[in-house]
Amino acid sequence: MNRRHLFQVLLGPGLAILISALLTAGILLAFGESPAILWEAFTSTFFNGFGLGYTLFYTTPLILTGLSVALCFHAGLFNIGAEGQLHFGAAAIIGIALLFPHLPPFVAIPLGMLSSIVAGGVWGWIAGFLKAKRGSHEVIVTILLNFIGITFVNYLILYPFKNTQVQNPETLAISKSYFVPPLSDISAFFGSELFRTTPVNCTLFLSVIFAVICHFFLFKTVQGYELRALGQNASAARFNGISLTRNTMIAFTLAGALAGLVGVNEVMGFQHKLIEGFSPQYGFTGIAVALMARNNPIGIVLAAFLFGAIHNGAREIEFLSERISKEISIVMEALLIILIAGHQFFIAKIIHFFKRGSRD
Amino acid sequence: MSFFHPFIILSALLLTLLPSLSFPQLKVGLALDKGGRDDKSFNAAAFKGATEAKEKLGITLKTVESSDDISLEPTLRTFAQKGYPLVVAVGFVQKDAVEKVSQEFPKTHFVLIDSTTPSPNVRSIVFKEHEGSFLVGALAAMASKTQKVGFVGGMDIPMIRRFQMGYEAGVKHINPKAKVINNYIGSTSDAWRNPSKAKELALSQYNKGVDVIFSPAGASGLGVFDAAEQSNKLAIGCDSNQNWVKPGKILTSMLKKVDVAVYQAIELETRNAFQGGIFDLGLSDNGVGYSLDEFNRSLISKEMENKINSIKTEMAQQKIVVPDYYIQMKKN
Repeated sequence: MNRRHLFQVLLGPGLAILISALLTAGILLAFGESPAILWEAFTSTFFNGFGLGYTLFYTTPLILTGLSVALCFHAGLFNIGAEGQLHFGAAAIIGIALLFPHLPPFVAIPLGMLSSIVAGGVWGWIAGFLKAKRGSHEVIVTILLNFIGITFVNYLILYPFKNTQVQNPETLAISKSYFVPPLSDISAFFGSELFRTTPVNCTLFLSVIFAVICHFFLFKTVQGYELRALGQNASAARFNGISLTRNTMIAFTLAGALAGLVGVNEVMGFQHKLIEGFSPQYGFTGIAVALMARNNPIGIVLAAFLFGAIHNGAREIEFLSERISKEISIVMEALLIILIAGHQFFIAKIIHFFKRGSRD
Repeated sequence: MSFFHPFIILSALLLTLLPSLSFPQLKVGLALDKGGRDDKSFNAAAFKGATEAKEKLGITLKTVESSDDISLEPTLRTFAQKGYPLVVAVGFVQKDAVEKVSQEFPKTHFVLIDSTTPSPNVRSIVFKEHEGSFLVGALAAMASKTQKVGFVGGMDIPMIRRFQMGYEAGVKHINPKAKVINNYIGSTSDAWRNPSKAKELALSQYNKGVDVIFSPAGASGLGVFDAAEQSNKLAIGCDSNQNWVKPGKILTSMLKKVDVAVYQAIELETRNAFQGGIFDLGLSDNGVGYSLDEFNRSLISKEMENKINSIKTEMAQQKIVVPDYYIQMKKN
């Protein structure tokens, strides 16, 4: 990727962030509130260890769901089912952890991760299978599978795994050997207080590693090439002997596996139990993250951080303002998505304008 | 009535008579759960109590609603970090968060509504819901002509079962032959904000001959009121006084005086008299009750009122002991 190309790639999202921030500031002004609180809220989400810890905690699942959506996008498929897939992954960890509570950590942690990958993968595969073998539209199938998946997982939380000692709908706690260490433990080991009392944990590294793996997979392997070929021109790819059926199922299985890993962050890294309604729509925000990053796995890490910061900053805005509520973050996210969706058009105009200017 | 609590009047008088006597402004943080301040029921009651304190005691109030369950804990922690001396956490979902944060900030005072935690700097306030439900159960049985009354619960959790058990006991106390039909809206937290499902359940109960329905179901209760209006039958509200929502169709409301509890806690803090510990508020503490105002005056006759008053006295003298689901649950 040469420098000019990189500039063009970054220009769109950069402008979108700038314009949406300006528009949000305009909305704040219209409500008689100082736009400075937007900046204050935004900086508080990553200029101190406490805010940064929560931002990174929200970033982790968004990287994974963003990758899940992007992988399918590369194959020309639209995965709206990340929400259901991540519920399945989380439930599988609880099932395994409650079934085998006495394993040593070096077995328990990989086993927990594996179970979330498998469960998410199976749930994703169903959508891929129905699309590939039955010709059902993947958007409809994944949306409906979300309902089934979330309801089924809620059933597991409320009946077989329920903690009957509390009013809250939540499962029993998993045993200590399944705990993924929080980053605050690592910083405490070096005598630092960074990330103290925040839930960000080592799953963050795992999700970044998976972003790198996805990049390698998509752009450096034959399988990844086949997926992208299908996404760019399905008929041409099939004519060249690339199987549509097989690759559709592979794309959805991998996407489901990635989304399933969200359970590791939530269950093994933070709550140590599964709570009904634990996901603030990570699966759907993942679509926005993938769009923002234009399906580039490395870009997804950055976009996920941005969306994590906005989500986290919403809480801060509640504290800073009397007139503006946390919903302003949804407004800002929506503006970002609209601008990103339309940015090709704007960028083309801008580039056209400058090119004409230089020629004259 | 909760409004005319002696010390509220007293403090209001003090404030109007002595404007020069200014208290240092106490900063109070109010952390609501996902229901938000407009649920017209549980959170709304807490918000009302805190707003009253703001107007009458001159405190600075900051209300924050949680965007998701993960943000409950950082919200409480931010309040503590910003130096709020008193933080009010509403809803049993906040139990774990209050437990953790109260230990990290032992000098900050916390109020936890609807759940308990042993930390000495936490004032845990729970209510004897079964006692209030007993009273409205008795009223329902007296108002019913068909000898059939209904119950539409929100989420199927022990707390709502406790409402149900008290209500059933109240009905049977008046009329042992009366039938109670029970339904729950759901078993997930969506059950608190699903008025359409609540309406369906209520309509089917009314069709079965039920003529009074009690509905402790948060924002879903509004659906039961709709059904009552449509079928021209009666409903009973919950938590806040909801008589005004459909005047003439709401027999009464079972009050859970979260507003009074929140106000009291703030008032104590302004006098530097905060007390931690667990406060279990029942009928005798004026923590629960039933509402009687101009909207339902015509529905409740003098005899009914007298009967309820005699039941109240008997309960105070322990002649009537209302069955408590929590105790029953522990036995099993």
